[in-house]
Amino acid sequence: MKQPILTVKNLRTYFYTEDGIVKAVDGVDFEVFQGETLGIVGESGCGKSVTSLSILRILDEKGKIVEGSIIFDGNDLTKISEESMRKIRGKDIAMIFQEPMVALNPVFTIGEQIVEAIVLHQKVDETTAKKMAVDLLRKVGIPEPEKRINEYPHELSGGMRQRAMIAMALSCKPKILIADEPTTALDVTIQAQIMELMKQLQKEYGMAIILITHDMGVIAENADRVVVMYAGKAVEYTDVKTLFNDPKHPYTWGLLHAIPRLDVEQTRLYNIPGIVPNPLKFPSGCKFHPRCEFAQEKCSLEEPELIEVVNGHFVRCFFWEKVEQAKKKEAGDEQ
Amino acid sequence: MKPLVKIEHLVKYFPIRAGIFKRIVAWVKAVDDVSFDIFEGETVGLVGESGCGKTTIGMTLLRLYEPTSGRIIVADEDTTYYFLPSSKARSYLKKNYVERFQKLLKEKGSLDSLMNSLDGVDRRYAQIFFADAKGSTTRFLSLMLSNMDEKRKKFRRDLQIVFQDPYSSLNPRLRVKTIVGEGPLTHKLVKGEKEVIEKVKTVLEDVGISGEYIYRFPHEFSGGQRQRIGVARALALSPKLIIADEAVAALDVSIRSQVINLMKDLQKEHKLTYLFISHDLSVIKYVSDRVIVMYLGKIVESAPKKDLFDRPLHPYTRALMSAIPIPNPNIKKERIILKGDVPSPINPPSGCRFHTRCYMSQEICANAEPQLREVEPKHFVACHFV
Amino acid sequence: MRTETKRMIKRLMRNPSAVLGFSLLIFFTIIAIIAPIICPPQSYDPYMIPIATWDKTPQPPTAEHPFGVIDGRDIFYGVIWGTRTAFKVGLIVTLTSTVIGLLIGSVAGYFGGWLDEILMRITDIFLSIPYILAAIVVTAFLGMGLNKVMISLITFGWMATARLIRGNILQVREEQYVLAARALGVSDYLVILKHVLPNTIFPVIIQATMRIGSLVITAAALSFLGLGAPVGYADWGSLLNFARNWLLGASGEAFKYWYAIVYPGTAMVLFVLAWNLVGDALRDVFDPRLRG
Repeated sequence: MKQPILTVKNLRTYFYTEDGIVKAVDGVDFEVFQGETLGIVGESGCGKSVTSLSILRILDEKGKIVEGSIIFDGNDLTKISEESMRKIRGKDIAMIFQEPMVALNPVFTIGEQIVEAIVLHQKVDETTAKKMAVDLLRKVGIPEPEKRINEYPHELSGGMRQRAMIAMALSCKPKILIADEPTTALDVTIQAQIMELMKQLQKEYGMAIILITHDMGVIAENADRVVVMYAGKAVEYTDVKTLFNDPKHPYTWGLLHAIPRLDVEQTRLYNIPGIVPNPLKFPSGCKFHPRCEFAQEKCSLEEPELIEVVNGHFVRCFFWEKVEQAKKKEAGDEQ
Repeated sequence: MKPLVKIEHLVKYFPIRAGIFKRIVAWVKAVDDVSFDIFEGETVGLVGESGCGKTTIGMTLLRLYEPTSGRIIVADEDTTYYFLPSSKARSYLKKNYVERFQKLLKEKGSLDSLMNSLDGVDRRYAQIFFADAKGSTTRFLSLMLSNMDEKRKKFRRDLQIVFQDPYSSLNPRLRVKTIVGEGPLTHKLVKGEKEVIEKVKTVLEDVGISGEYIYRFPHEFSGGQRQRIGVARALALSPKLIIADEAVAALDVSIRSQVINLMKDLQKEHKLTYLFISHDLSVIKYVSDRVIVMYLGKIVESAPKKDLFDRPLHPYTRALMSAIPIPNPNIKKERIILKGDVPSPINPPSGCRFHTRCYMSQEICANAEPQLREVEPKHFVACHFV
Repeated sequence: MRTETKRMIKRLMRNPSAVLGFSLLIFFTIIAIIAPIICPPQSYDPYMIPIATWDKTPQPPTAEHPFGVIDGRDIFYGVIWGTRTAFKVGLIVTLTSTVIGLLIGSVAGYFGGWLDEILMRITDIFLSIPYILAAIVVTAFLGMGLNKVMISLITFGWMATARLIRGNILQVREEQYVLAARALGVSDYLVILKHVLPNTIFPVIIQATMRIGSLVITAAALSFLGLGAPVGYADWGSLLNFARNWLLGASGEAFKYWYAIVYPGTAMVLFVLAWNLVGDALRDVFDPRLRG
């Protein structure tokens, strides 16, 4: 059996705000294997971004990891010193963001920023680093890298900026690349370019990717295994084919029927009623029960655990069999 | 079915100014010679990537921007001059009707053959010019420019918009009652506090928001609810056409389907016509009857939904479709990866605007601009190689 | 509105610096109101500090003159009645210059085009002249007196407001709710009144509040230079002007005349602080991003 390079167990990250405790991440489990892509999918406020920030421990001062472990290379990242964490950040685990304009410093050229990242973690001089930077930019598909290296972030288009950020993240050959909504701000044709690039780089570097997105399509095409999050909790966790062919949590099932799709004819989109809950006022029991069509009294009283219902398929629901029946009924309707 | 809106050769350029004298140094060619019709009761999907001009079309249609040139006909009236200052409106009418009619009369020789050569608004306006105004320019102008206030109000009632951003589209300092009631009050559809409240409650319940909430402020609602309030505001005027400009783009997946379903239901109930502007082909596919694909200010393809999605003909449409990630891991599809970025609309490429990124492009594409032509019934494509 | 107001007050009460600011302001207001009770005026013009002695050397605090005496005048009386002067200068100058700035800025912002261009160039010209220098020149030109000081401060004090409101209007004009209102057919006048102004005016109010404090300093600076109020007028700046000759103390005793500086100086510092804290608090309350 393969050994995971990153194991997240029962992660809980809370924010202590003046309005109360925000349980942004409240029970997330997953493993990341070398060369694989783990997808984290969910709607706004579900805690998917905070999960990634917790792995890198770059939460703001109000945020705190209150429980759980993040095992990387035999060390628990929640326990090691800030200094050792700094050595891991950027070198072993790198991150790219949704809006590269925010993550890139506007007053330095692309080249200066990549060179800085290289020099910080590797023992090379500036000339070598600069050569490496040019190579990296070429690798991520930026035309005329010798020229572009001297340009400022605002001189590049959105797609080029995202490429530059990927180059920066890859500068130290990280073992894990966290990509937080890497293509959300981009046009679809550019999104396709970037996702293609990431796949190709993953093959070349053999790194693991944690892909965070709200887009089920991006997940289906790029992830190997998927965590579905809702209200700070992992509600379903399995490999990508099983998730899409055989979703067992009512939320996953609803979500898959609520999106307009190019590949099937739809007469009506499924309605998940209600609103995405406010993290300050999460409902009792199962966080999804007010919006769930299969909910029963038990769901509002008790919180279900994430249990392995079939080999390698984890679901946080008391009544996941009901979804099975709904699926059977749906299959019947189609015939 | 008859067209509710006819857009003819619409052009919208935005000036770029620089220097102390604010000289115009360049033009952003946001929309460049676009023509299409919207028929009563249908949903037209307008799709394209950022910078293709789709939002500009919506804004120009509503006259939140004045068109640079072209004609916008709504419910059989030329509305192009409605919001122009009166001197500009006069010169528009003179140039587009008086001078044209006079020239045509010379060419055709007789009034009858002139009338026969015209149709639609042109024919009606020719009648006004030759019959009602007896060929007098001044009288024609005063006939056309009479009751402008009423005409403008009717235009505003007929065309409404729902914006993308559920946060900035509602005034944060006003209550829902004021926001939704503003339209009906402005158009005197309701009188007095009691009728306003009644009207607002009705529309709110139409969009699935409890009438009890009329005294709340926008920030007390979630994103999806705010978007419903935005729909209610448009709906309160009982419009014929609603322009939905990326109306669901900012919403979460589970909320998006609620709003899309709501808009479809409202369409049936209120016999609405939609111009649905979006960058998302999947949404467009779900809501539209007919789809128009734009690239850099031009229409590249337009067809009934089924034809377009079954048989996309323009290379850009194909690339766009192949770029959409499909939420089904069992399907492995051929992906067309376009090279490069969308060029700037300030300096669009010569010939076919797509040729710099096109996988089919040949020499002719850089030199000659392909015209939009009907290659199959109702299926229009602007490409040399289709 | 009630819940809204409640929330605002709750937020203010949680913020200690806001509480301090408002307390100081209330304190100064009370002082200004009850000045005639604390220090009953002794001549026909209550703003003229009565002469206690003809001896020009400063005299330390006593029971009769709790803040001491400078230039023969009672510092306590000057500080108390000076509060009224501070309010008068601060409020009149700020209000008038804000109104002028609002007018110029909103005309420029809403109508745009050539009008905007001309008005903004005029604003630039005024801005390019150093504030204090301009105020000194104008005051010197108009002659001495508090009114002249206020006129010169108003003349050179409206530009920031004009720029701020213009920028805000340009920004709000493009907001989707303004576009939506225009699409509803609401008239331009009502769009400005209902949608543009309410969303642009608060930064101006906040800025004006903060300016009241700094204006008092500028006015005091002019008085300190002998350009402001007439000799003997109850004004913190004038009191400091008296102290100018005694700043160095006596030989061997650097702080001998401390009271001549400390009392009016403290009053001024606290006054400025109060307005700044209040301005900060208002900004927190009115910033829609901070609303729950």
